[in-house]
Amino acid sequence: MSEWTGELLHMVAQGTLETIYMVTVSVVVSYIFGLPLGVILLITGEGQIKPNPRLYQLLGTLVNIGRSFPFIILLIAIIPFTRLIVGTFIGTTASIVPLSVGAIPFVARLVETSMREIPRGVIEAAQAMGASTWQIITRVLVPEAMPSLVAGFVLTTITLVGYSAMAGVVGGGGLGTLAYQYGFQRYQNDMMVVTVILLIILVQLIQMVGDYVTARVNKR
Amino acid sequence: MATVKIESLSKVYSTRDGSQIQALQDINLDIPDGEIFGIIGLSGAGKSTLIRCINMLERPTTGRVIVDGRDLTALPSKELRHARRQIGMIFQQFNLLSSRTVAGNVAFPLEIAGIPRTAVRQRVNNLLDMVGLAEKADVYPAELSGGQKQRVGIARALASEPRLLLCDEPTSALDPQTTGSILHLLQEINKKLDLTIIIITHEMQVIKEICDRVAVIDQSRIVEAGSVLDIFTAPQTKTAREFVKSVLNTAIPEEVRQNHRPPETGESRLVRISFIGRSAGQPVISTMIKEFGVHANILFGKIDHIKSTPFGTLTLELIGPPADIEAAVGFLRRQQLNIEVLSENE
Repeated sequence: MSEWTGELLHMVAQGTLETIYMVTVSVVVSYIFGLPLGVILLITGEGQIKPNPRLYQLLGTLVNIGRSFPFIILLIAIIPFTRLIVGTFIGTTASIVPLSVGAIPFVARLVETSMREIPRGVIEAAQAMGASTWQIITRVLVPEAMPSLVAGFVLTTITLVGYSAMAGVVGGGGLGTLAYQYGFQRYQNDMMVVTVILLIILVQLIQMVGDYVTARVNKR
Repeated sequence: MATVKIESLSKVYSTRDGSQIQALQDINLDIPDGEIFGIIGLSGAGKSTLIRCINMLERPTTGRVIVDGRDLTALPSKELRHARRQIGMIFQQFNLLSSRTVAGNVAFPLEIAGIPRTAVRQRVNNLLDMVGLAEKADVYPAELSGGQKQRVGIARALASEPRLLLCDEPTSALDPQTTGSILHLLQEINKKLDLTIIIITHEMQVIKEICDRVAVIDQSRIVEAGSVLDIFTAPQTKTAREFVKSVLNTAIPEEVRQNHRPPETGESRLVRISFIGRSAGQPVISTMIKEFGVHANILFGKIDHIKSTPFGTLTLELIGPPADIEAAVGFLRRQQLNIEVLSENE
């Protein structure tokens, strides 16, 4: 057992903050791209408000390809892209790129699935009242799917916590790096245990807050 | 108020395997201002497609839909959206937004039209008063009964002050009592707001209670159309007769039929007489008996109301020599009554 010095505590605290930083930014980025992509996937689908089979096919295929990439491969495969955007491929900021890219197709499908649950008649009623496509998206699709969208957001966030730990293995920073470098490579089991416990707490907190918000927005 | 004219409209669906389904065929309708027009048909007859073709939720394959002189099939999408604001619609499944309160749902069409907030609130309150749901303004649809949901649907449909209201099976998800109250409300707004109403239904009860005219749709065509009284008293097609029978049971009750014996002397003939409104007051039967010397045995009789006009049917067995029966039936026909001579097993 290593002694728990102030320095170690500092490292754990910093690792936690790094993880929160990586996850937060990549969740935001993945929704900035994934939400519109999911909406386009939905409305261009067969029998939807803007059916466009070719666009639907194209986007659907891209999303499927993105989702079938194992994250660890994606992490390495897009290093040139990461470098182009951030200037480096090591460190917390650099990990945000693969985390976001990996999550975008996941988010797009989640969003599409959530909105697909809205009864067709409700959308039709809005059309019958003279709503434009944009009005239907912002005033019907998003608010009506909100409980399901929030649940999807929670799922994405938790998935990204897991992925961020994976990014840590290749120098991404955060709790993953601590667990790998100290817990695994230096046989400091207590460090391994502490980081895992912290990850568990993080996931629990996200799920609790998420469940609370989901219940609040659900009027059904 | 609005007039609706449908001209040689047809709708063909192409299925995935390349075959085509004819949903509507050569539909022609002319609906004047302020009328409550019913379209009745069995499920699959095409009635839902028809009403959805009126506001272009479904694009007709051929033909025109002219509302207040404007051909909706020719409008570009932006103008169509504006035209749709003049056409309210209510649905069998209500289709309310679950994420909005009752007031929020009624406000929805006004928000879409860009009406200022303060004006919206005032108008929403008036509408909720009209449908009797003022105290439910802040409740979510999930907490409402079916009838209340449909009232919200009606208030929402009326929010943008339409001149035409389309009702797609408005009472089919409701129990009979609630159906009555919703129909009553529709009739009330028809009078109060001078609104033209088109109702799609499979329930003849709906037609009987509030419609002025009706079209019967069967296998994607309109097979019969006319005033509700005409359809009830003299249905021309088998489909129409079946619908009429569903609410006006004029068949001779089973126990009467079983106990009925042919007369010992003379011929007998079964005659069903339908009478409407005023003619119900004249002593036609006793005149016939006196003048033609036939006996009349009353087997079954019933009086009903079709949109507040009394409508009765009477099934008589006329007994006597064949020539006298013939003369008596001729007399009845001359009274401008609707006469059907029934065969023994009808």
